[in-house]
Amino acid sequence: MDVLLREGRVADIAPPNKLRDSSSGVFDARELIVSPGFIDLHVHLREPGQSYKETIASGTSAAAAGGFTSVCCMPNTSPVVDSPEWVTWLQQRDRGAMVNVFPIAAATLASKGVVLTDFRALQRAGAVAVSDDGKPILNDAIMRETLRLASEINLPVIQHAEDTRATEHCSMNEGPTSFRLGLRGMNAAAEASIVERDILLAQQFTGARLHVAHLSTAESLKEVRRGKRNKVRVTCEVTPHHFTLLDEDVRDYNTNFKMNPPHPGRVSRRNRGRHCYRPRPSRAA
Amino acid sequence: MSVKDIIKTATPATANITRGSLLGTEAMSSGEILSLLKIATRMNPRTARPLLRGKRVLLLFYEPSTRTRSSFEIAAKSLGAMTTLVLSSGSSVEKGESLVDTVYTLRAVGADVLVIRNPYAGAPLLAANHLDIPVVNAGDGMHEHPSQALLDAYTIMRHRKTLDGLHLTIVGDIYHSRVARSAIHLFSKFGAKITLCGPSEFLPEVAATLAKGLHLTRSVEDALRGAEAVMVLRVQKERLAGKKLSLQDYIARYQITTERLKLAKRDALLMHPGPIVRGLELTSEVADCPQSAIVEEVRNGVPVRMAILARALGKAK
Repeated sequence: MDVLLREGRVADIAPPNKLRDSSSGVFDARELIVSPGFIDLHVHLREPGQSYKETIASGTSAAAAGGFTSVCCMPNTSPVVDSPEWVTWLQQRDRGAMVNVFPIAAATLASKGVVLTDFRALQRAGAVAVSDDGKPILNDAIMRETLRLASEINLPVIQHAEDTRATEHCSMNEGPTSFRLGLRGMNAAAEASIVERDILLAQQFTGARLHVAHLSTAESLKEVRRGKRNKVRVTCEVTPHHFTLLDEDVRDYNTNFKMNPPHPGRVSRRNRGRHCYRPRPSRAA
Repeated sequence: MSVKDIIKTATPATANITRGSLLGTEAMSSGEILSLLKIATRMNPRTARPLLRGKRVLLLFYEPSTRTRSSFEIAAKSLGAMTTLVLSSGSSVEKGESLVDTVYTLRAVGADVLVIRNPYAGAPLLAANHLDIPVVNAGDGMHEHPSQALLDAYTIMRHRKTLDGLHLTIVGDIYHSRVARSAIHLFSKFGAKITLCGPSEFLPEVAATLAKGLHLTRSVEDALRGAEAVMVLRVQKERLAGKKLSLQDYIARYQITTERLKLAKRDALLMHPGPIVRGLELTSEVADCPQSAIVEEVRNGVPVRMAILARALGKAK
């Protein structure tokens, strides 16, 4: 196939040498993959304040190298992106972004889970969703209000589903490996219980959009399927490392494999894989 | 790059752990264990040759200890070594110095071997990966306490010719116990029949996956029946706080009493890594009964640790 690009967009696709406008330059794309730009819904660009970890420039360069032309960045920076001013700041040219950056703003001030941010103002400034990512919104009333207000303006709410009361001092998935290593492990229920509650709350508001960040257990996926059957607008995302790596890979305390949510056990990954075919998680992130 | 390649590049090489290091019993072979115990039988704390004269044994303890610390110290001194004890409290650890920097420092002041106790599982491995001297694990978090398992094996072998097929029962808070993990790894290498007993709060089902042939039971009577060695573990009162199981319940269901001990074999050994809490996990009578090997275990800790140190510094085959 030949693809014609005009003004940064695909203008035509035709069999080889059949393109009507061939006056422009030709790029030899044989053996290469040509696709629309990918979108990563969940990235951490670590600015403002944590540029020792990553910068907007370095993160988006990596994105571009992988074919991602748009990224949605999470607000758990220093300070947290919880104001329209910071949302605007993230989108300025001076930040050196190599691809499109769509900010996700915090749902509560400083993501402390107590006082809601101004969703309308954040959306006007360019936020595409709200989330306290890095932490869950644990309080039922706050989560309820978040879903309610967000539903009024068609703003998705992204939840980092982890019952942190149950995962204190835990550093990996609970299972034979964590037991052998003498490490406290996180139980799958710590994720699934939050997903279940969030879907129950979302059901109360027409048009509420709930998105489960980095879903990592079969149990949580079951809840998402149940929510979809009940007509809740719930979506979820799964990361590549959760598909490919296991808790066993941590062996010998290798902190390169320390993740939150943690890498799953063999059985959970298999079960999740089974569920992945019908229906699929909405996104990979 | 396949997933396996990714894992390989992200995994630090463990080939640079110095020979003679003792990080845990899990990776030891039964042959290694027996040869170490054999060296221990030849170690007499009062008359040993100064195999380690001129050597510096550095004890780095981030957690309280009576037995292990004094035992390693006396073991080292009995072999003629110089010892220094660094406690985390009162050291630069309080100023925020990292573990890696601390061990580099101790190496730089001349340590020939590092004996380390730390509340974080994996700390001795981290130290060993960074140093060019042997590292001996004196207890790392909930993970392993290899010298304890070795002295327990030594103790049992003084009463029973071989470890093969031993009927061993471990009762108590196994989830939090590095002693239990090390013992399970060690004794399972000899085809021991190991029974684990405790309430679900202290003994999750997943414990059965730790080694082959483990048996789990919630009944202390079933666990004790026919046992040749009974290892009792300390119960930390704080760990029961907020759980459904009360202290009284634990005592009622799991305390080792004289009556219960009768269910074990007639000359079964009663063991405990210490410190014991009389009236909690075991009664005073049981702690002091003729079958109790508790004090003997402590005594045996010295020759076993002498063997460990001698082997670490290449002074014993």
